[in-house]
Amino acid sequence: MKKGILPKIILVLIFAYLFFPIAATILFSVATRWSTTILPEGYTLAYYQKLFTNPEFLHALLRTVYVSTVTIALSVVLIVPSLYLAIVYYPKLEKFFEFLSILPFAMPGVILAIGLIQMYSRGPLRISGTSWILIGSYFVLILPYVYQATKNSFRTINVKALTEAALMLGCGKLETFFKVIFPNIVRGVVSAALISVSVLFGEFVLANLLVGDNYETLQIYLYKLQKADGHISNALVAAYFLVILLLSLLMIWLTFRKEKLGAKTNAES
Amino acid sequence: MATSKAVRLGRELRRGGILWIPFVPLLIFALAFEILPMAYIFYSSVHSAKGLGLHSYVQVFHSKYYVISLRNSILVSAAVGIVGLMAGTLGALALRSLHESKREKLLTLVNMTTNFAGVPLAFAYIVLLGVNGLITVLAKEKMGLDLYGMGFNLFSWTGIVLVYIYFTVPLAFMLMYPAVYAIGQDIQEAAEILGASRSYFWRKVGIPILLPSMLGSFTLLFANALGAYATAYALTNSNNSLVSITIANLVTGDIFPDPSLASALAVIMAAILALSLLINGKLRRRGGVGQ
Repeated sequence: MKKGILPKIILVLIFAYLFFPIAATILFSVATRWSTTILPEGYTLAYYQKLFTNPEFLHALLRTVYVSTVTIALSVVLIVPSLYLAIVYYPKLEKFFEFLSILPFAMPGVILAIGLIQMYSRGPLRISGTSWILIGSYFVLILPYVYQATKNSFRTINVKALTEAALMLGCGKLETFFKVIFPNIVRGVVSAALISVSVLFGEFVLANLLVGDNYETLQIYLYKLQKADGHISNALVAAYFLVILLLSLLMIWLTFRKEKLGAKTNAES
Repeated sequence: MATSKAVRLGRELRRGGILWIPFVPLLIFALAFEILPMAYIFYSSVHSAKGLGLHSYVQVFHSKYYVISLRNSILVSAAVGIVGLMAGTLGALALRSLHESKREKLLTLVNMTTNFAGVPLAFAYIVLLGVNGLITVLAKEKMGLDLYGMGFNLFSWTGIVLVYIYFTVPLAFMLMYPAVYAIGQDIQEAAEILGASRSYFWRKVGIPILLPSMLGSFTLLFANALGAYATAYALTNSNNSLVSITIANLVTGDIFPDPSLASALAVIMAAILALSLLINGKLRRRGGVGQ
């Protein structure tokens, strides 16, 4: 397509730069000894074994899984139906969603945390330091992703026309949403959930400032572990990255299936 | 037609009746965890121990420490944004030379590395370039290069900039790819047929097309670096003066907690972020290439 070796060299350099730390982390996590040689002197899974049998780690993992699951479920339940209603019945309310999803960009974790700490450290709603405040703040954190992915799915299926057709054919409103609309956007919702999982599993700022030691999440545990045992904490970093890899593969698979499905419906029509 | 549609929608709305109910919990959550906290920061920034007023803002701009931490953050974010933008743009341009299917695959790989930030990234760099890091030791043993002896220190500004660049490059790559993609092979071929040399094409056509997107992407990269906290915190144990770390220390620190001051700094930071987002929005609407 194009002559010249320069683009290839640039790409190789950039990808080497991006993947070198990841490869080294994964390799180091299975190395017995690795100091003065190019490659490790021997391989072992002992660090992973130590990590996965450590009850503190398992508790931190469970807390992160719990908070992420509740947050994602909550934001899907709160956002998907109301965005649907906004698009179909109350188009003016779409601006409100736009505003809600842009605001987090002007208030990153540190700023959000400053406000939340001051609001919820006293008074009747003293939830600072509990998982509740974490769930609330995570809801804001993933709102832009969930909103964008849901909006895109609604746009691809032309949700307004579909709703009108279903209503005209005698479907009830609830039935239309659950039996006609939702099955069509479930893939978009799942991909939003996957993005949210990778965001929430890597979240440190809000957890550290809002709950800290009171509710030790995975990232806080990782931060502490580094001081106690560098090699095991490295295994955790490697495991974290492998999970991200897995989620990315899942997402690729989902979009790939969507394309194939799209091609099939196009061929049929 | 239009009026009948409007009439139908109006009837639908009235018949809809209770359809607004799902908005209530959403509104409650948005108010409780997004809108009110932001408003509270404003309130708290003008309400210090001395009463209502701009005391905290005055204090920020009269204190060398806070001005320096603001300046540090802006300088680091700008530097990181420029370097990341250059690398990302070059990468996106280089990607054009590949076939469509390969392009998509490489792009998803880049996208994946955008998740590698914060604490895990800092620790990966400690394993590589810490005092006893793999590269540090290898360089010393095999090449006689004593990195730390030469003044390199991962747990300082050098390290922060180095690690910040790492998480900025893939983001810049993803942001610039659509704009670069918009310079189709056809435009370039047309220019070549008309006798334009390669450098002439880039000077007169390529760069001018890319410039608005580059500026827009820069503002986003800048904003992203400015808001970052975890990476620097994990690397330097909050001992350096970046504004995000200073803000957090002012609220959680046991020594001098001063929420009003923290709020004032947070408002200043939010204003800078809002400004860069505004510029990006303007550029996108005007430039509009490939967005």
